[in-house]
Amino acid sequence: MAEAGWPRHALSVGVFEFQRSVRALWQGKVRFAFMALGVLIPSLVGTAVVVVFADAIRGVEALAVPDLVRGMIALFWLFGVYLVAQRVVSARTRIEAEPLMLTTVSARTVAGGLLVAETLRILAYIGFPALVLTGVGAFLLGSPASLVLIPVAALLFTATVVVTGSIVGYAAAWFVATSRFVARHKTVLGTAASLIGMGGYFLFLYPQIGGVSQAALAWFPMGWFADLAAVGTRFVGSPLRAAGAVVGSAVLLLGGGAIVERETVALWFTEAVSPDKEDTAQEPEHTAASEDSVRTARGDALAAAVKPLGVPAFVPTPMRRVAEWTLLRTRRDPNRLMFLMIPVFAVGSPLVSTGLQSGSIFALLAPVGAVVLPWLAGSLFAMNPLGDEGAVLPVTLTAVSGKQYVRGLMVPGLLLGLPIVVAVTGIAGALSPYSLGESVGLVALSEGVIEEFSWFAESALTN
Amino acid sequence: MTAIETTELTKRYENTLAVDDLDLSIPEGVVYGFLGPNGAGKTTTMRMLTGLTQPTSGTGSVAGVTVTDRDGLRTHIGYLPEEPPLYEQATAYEQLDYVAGLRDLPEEATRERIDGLLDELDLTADAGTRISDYSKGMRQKVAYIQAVLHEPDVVFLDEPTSGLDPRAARTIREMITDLADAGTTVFLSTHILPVVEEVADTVGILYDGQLVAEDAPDALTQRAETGATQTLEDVFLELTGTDPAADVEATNG
Repeated sequence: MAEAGWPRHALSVGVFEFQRSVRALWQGKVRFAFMALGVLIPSLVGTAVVVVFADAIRGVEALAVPDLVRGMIALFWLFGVYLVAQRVVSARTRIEAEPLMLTTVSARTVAGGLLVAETLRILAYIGFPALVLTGVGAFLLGSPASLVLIPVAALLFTATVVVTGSIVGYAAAWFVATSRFVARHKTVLGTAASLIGMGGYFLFLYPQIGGVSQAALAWFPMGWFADLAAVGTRFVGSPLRAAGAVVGSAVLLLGGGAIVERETVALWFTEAVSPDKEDTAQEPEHTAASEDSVRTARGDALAAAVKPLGVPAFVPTPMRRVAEWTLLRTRRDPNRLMFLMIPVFAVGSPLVSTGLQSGSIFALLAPVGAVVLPWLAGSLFAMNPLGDEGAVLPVTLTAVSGKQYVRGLMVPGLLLGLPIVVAVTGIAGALSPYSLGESVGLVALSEGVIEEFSWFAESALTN
Repeated sequence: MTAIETTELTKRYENTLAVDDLDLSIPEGVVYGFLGPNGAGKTTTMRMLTGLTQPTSGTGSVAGVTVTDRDGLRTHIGYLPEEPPLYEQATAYEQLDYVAGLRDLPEEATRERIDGLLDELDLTADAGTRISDYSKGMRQKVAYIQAVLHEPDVVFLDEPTSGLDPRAARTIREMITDLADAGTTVFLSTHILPVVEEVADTVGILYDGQLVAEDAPDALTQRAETGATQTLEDVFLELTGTDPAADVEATNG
C-alpha cells in the first residue's frame, strides 16, 4: 500500500530529480552548451524550414496519413524504448539517497517519481520540436485542435516510451541482481542485446540494408500517434486509430506503471548475488572467507581476474598492472561504455546513410575504419582516464609515473583493438573500389592514427 | 510498551550469516547503544528494522509495526545511515523542505522547526549553500535533521557523530538525550564508545551477528567476579575477542 497522496509525492520526486539533473548538467557549462545546441540547432533548422515553406504547407491538399509516417513513429517509439531500457539498466536502477527515500515514501512513489523524471528529461529534448509541430498544425494547417492534440500525442508518446523502457530495464536489472549467470556474463549479454537492438533499428531505418520499409511497422499501435496528431489538420488519419492510441496509452501507463512498481520492489528489496561466488549449498559461515579461500585467492589475483584475457609478461610491471586493472574495470563495469554510444550514434548513423546512398558502403567504411576505429578502440578502455580513477587517482599517480600510467591505459586498446582495426580497414579496403596501394595506405594510416593518438594522450595526460 | 521487539531475527546473505537469531526488547523513550566491530551485523540489523532489508527468518516490530510492513513503518521511524543520504545539487533548505513535503508535514510549523534545528546545529549561515560544498560534518548535521524532522517514534542513528567537530558532536549528543527525554526511542550505532557511555540507557554488543551482551553501561563495566570497574572499551574488546592486550599475551604465551 502506498501512502495517501502518493501521485502528488511522485510528481514532487520526479520534478526534484529532473531539477537535479539540470543542475548537474549546468555544473559542466561546456557540456551543457553542447547539449543545448544539440537540441536547439535541429529545432531551429526545422523552424526555418517551416517558415520558408509556410505557404506551401498552407496549400497542402487533403492527404491520408501515409503508412510510412506511422511506421516511422512506431520505429522511433521502439528505439526510444531501447534507449530508456539501456539507461535504466546501466545507470538508473536505484534512486539516489535510497535509504532516505524508501523510509520517507512508498516504493510506488519512488518508482513513479523516477518515471516522471525520465519523462521530463525526454520532453526537454523533444518539447521544442513538438511545439514547432503544434504551431504548424494550428496556424499553417488551420487546426485549433492541434494546440491540444499534438502536445498530448508527444506527451503520451514519451510517457509510454519511458514506462515500457523501464519495464524492460528493471527486468534486466532484476536478472542481473538475482541470477549469478547473468551477473557474471552481463557484458556479453548486454553487448549482444545492444547489437540486436541496434541491428533491428538500422534494418528498418535503412531499407537499403534488408529491404524492410518503415511502413511495415504501420500496424504497430504506437505508430497511431500520427493519427492522433493529425486530427483536425488536412492530413486525414483514422479516428479509430487516434482513439486507439489514447486508450492504448492509458492502458499501457496504468498496467505498465503497476508492473514497474512490482519490479522495483523486487529489485530494491532483494540482495544482489555476487558474481564472483560459486553456486554451492554449503552451510552458512559467520566469517566471510575461510583461510583456504583466502590462500586460493592469492597469487597473481589481478592477472587471474582478467583471464581469459591477459597482458603479455614482456610489458613492464607497472604498465602491465595499469593495463590489467583497466581491462578488469571495463569488464566489471561495462555501463561506462554506454557513454560511447552517443558519438557512435551521432557519427555512425549519417555515415551509414551516406554510404548506402552513395552505393559503395566500403568506399566509406575503409577510411572510417582507419580513423574512427582507433579512437573507438582507445576509448573503450580509456575514455575518461582521470575520472575513472576517482578518489584513487592520487594514489595511482604517486605509485607510477604519468608516462607509465598513460602507456598502461593504452595497452588494452592496442592489444585488442589494433588487430580489429587492421582487419576491418584491410577487408573494407579490399572490398572497396580503392586500389591495392590505397588500401595498404589506409591500413598504414590506421596504425599511424593509433600511434598519433597514443603520443597525444601521453603528452596531454602527463602534462 | 516496547518500541523495538525482535525474536530470532536472522539475515543470511548467500553463504554468510550476517545476523543470527537476534532477540531485542527495547522500551520506549530510551537510548539503546548498539555496539559491535566492523562486519558484526549492526547495519544489517538497522536495515531490517527500518524495512530496507527483508529478514531471512524471525520476526521484528518497531513502534508496534512489523518490520515487513514497510509502508506502516515509515511514519514511525527516522533513519540516519552511515553515509548521509543527501543530494549534492540541493541546498540544505531545499533538501529539508523536499523531505518535509514528501512527508506531508505542515509547512509553516515545519519551516520553523527546520530553522530551529539548523540554528541549534550552527548551520543557518550555510543553509542556502549547495550540499556539494559542505564538509562531512555539515552533511552529517543536515542528515540528522532530516532523520528527526517529522518527530518519529523511533530514530535509528548510524554513527551520527562521525566527522563532527567536538562542539557539534556535543550538540548532537545533547539532542539525542533530549529526544529520549521527549519519549523518542533512539537506536544508536557507533564506534565512538564515550558517546554510548554518555548517552545510552542500555548497551547491546553484537559480535558475529549474535548479541553477546546487553545491559546498562554501568552494569557492563562492573566486573561480576571481582567487582573491579572496566571501561566500556575494555568490555567491548573482551567480548568481541579483539583485546590487543590479550592478543599480545596469547602471542607471547
